[in-house]
Amino acid sequence: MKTILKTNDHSIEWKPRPSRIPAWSGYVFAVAVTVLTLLARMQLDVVFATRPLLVLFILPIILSAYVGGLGTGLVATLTAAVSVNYFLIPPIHSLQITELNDFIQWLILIVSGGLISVLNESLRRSHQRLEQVVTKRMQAEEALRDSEEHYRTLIEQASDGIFIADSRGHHVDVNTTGHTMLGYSREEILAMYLSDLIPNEDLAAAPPRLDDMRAGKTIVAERRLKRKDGTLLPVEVSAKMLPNGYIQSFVRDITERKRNESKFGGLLESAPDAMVVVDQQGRIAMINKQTEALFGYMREELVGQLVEVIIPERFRGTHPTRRTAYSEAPSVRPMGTGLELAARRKDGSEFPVSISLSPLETAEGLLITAAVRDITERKQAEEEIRQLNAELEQRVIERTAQLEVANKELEAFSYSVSHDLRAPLRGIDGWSQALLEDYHERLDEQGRQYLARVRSETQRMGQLIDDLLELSRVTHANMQTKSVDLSALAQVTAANLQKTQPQRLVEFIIQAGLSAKGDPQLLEIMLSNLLSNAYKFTGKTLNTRIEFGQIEWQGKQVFFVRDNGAGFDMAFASKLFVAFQRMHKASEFHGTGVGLATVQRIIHRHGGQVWAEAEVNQGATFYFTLEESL
Amino acid sequence: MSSKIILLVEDNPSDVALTQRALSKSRIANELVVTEDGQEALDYLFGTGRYAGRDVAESPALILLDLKLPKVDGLQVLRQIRTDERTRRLPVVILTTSKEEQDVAQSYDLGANSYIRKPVDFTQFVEAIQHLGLYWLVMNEPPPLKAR
Repeated sequence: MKTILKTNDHSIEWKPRPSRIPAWSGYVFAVAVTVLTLLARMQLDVVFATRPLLVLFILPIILSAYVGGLGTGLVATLTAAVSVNYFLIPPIHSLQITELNDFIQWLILIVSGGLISVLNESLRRSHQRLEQVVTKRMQAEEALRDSEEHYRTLIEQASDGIFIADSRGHHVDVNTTGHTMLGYSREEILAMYLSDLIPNEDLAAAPPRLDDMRAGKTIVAERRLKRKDGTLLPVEVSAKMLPNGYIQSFVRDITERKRNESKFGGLLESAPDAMVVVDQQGRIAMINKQTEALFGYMREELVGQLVEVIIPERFRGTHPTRRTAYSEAPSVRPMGTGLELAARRKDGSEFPVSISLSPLETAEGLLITAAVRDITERKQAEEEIRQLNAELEQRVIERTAQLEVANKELEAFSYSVSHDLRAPLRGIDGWSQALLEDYHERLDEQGRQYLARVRSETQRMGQLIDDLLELSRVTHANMQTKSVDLSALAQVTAANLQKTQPQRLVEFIIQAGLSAKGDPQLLEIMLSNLLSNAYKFTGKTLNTRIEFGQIEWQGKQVFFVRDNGAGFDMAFASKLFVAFQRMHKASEFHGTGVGLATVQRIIHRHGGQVWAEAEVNQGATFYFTLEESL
Repeated sequence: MSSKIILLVEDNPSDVALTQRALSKSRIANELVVTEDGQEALDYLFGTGRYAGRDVAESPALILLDLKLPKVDGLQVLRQIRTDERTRRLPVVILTTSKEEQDVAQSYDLGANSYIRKPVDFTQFVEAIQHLGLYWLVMNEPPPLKAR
């Protein structure tokens, strides 16, 4: 059973087609109709008398031929011919025909029957052909309707708005997306022209490029379309001319993209570096002003180009592979992570750049933002620094060599000072003494005083040389670092000092258990200098008290040596630690002014600080730290 | 041997005279032999050079040795004294101006018996010489000398 698909606008239903009569039933029908006609004729003998009147049998033949076609018609003709011959043509009940008149009538019946059958068959065939044609036509129409349906569905389901206008620009079709995005109904759009949707100023600024469309080009442009409510919709239009002259436009709402672009664009423009946004295909999607300035290209010249255009030729070959590798595993790479490369300006010149990369997933796919910074100056500065460093290093080597020579000279100088300068002093002192002893009687009192001065000055100079040598030694001596018991050192020094002037009554208050890390010899010199000073400057004080201890000062452990002696004027404190600077007259307190300079050098060599607080006649306190205080 | 000679090795005449004065002021009456450089000192000790033929068995009871000397310096002289069998036990007192640590250390390393730095103050110098003579010439038991 064959079925056809019949579709209405909204429903599909199935209908069976009437079946053709089988061939054998046609033949039975032919015989039956003919026999019925014969029986009817025989009943009408009264009317027609005995004349055969064969014309009556044309009826069943026509009927049969109509119903069954050639075969059935011929069966009816044959049945009629045989039965009329036998029952109606004299001699009756015989197949003989005696009269010519009857025979001619009989022949006419047969010929007429045959002719009717043939003609009917022909009619049937042409009818069948017609039916086939009609069927085919109907099927074609069905198919067309199907495809139109698909097309309509496609159009309706498209996310883009689709507008079709005739050659005069009058809309002939629009999909739901299309009229919805503009806030119109379908009918309203169909009553409008293309130009009704575009603001006048835009039309004037950028008229539709009809000539290009006629030339078969697809025009892609960004436009603004007027909505029914008067607002403007930013869209991307892709328009082309169909073969029939109609204009078909695909319209995409790019509100979101525009918003992103303006956001993103603002970001790009405000960036201090040249920003180059590249899509996954390696094409430059966006750049900022700084890029134009840095590379010497106009925006239009770069956007849409492969990013390799701003890379020196010698790197262009390998760059796409690296770019693809990055796209496959994108990660943020900040500046200064080894991305120091060369870039190429429009004029072909190259310059060194530092590049940071950051991937950005967008609706249009992965975008890679490259921040490009010209590091020419930095490179130059680095090169300069490198050269300066090299020069500096060379100079350090030279200076070190000079210093070594100077140190050797200094050592030699110290050595000869200690030997050669002291020997004559000893001579001056010795012979002055000899003079005093051997020529005592010949010298008057004044002469003896002069000689005494010669001796005391000589001794002072000897002391000065000794102090200077010590200062030099503490500056240059190699240092050992050990834990040194400062309390014990102070005790020993105090005992020694008391022996020098046993008649003095001095109270030493030494805090027990103080120790520090440092060079034992240097720390001993330092501490004994401070305590000797305290001892010396308390020489004119009654109830002398000298303290050594430790206090906390500004969160640090600080050692101190305190006395209640002569003190000094804090106005001159800045000169305190300078060699040869003295705070007191030689007639009050003898000294060389080297002791505190020595103290300061030793403390500085230990990474510490030394300072003093004092008041005239109220005593002095010397504070010091040693970096490695325990 | 009983003469107890003191050998003074010193190139500075003023220092020689001062030392002589200090010795006499300290009432040390021993014979004083003065050699003005290291070579002369060695010649005296080993009977060579201008002291050729000297009876070297006549050893000084005490050697006062300056370090800074012309020709052969004091440390060299000390080294040779300590190397030679005949002189190795002689008491040697370094009597010098320097108290550089390296000098003191080297002197003791080479076998000096004592190290005295000459003070500038003559009174102190006389004191030092006095102590020295008393100690080395009177209190100290001299080393046995090799019989020849």
